[in-house]
Amino acid sequence: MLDIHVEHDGEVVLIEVSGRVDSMTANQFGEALNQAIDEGNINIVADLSGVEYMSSAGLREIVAALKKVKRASGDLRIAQPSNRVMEVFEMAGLDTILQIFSSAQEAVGSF
Amino acid sequence: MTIQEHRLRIPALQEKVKEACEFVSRLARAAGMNDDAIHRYYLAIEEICTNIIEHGYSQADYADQQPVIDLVCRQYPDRLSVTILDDAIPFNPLERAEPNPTTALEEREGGGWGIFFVKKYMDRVTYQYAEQRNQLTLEKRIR
Repeated sequence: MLDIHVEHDGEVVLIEVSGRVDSMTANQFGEALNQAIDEGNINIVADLSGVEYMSSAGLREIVAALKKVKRASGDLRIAQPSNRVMEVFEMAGLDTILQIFSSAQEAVGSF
Repeated sequence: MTIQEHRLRIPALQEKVKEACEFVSRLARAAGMNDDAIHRYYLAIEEICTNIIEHGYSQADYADQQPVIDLVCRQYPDRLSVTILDDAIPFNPLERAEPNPTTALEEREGGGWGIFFVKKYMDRVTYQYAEQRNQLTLEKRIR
């Protein structure tokens, strides 16, 4: 199970995720992202500072959500990925597609 | 040369994949692998077992019996080898076209990254279909 905390900061939704994002739990992450998007939010920050592990199942959720918000001229930005999560982003080439920030505050402020 | 062999059978259920990952992680740690190598083995086992459950076994009717995934770990002096065996239709994941990390966002379809990561994380990955089973072997040097 993941711990997911969602809060609104002006026009931006901050989704803080803690735990292991794997093939069992990635759908929880995806549901949180989709719920935010379905509520009309297109500027989203995913704070991954509490995520020590992410497999391809987690990447699928990020790519799906990113496509949705981009189509609506919004963005999904990432804050504080661990080295291991960053390595997975880099292998999949997502480090060049995603905007990645060293703090949630910086990511929220970038919109 | 001494080879230590350990085996595990899990029902092919998503909630059992963690058991397989932890089994291999424990052996990797006991073999002297560092935390990064153990992490890479963990992720590789998750990706392979998940593919078998989501794609291999989803293509046939196993209503009468619970399909299984077997893991055979062999520790050699210089490397750890994990063979993952399943009874789904023959499928060599190494022949699947690799996803391209430079693909633009809108053209990304989401699939194929699991085996791509496995190939990146392991030193050697081989496939054979023998005794009516898919057999994928992942090898990583211990040091």
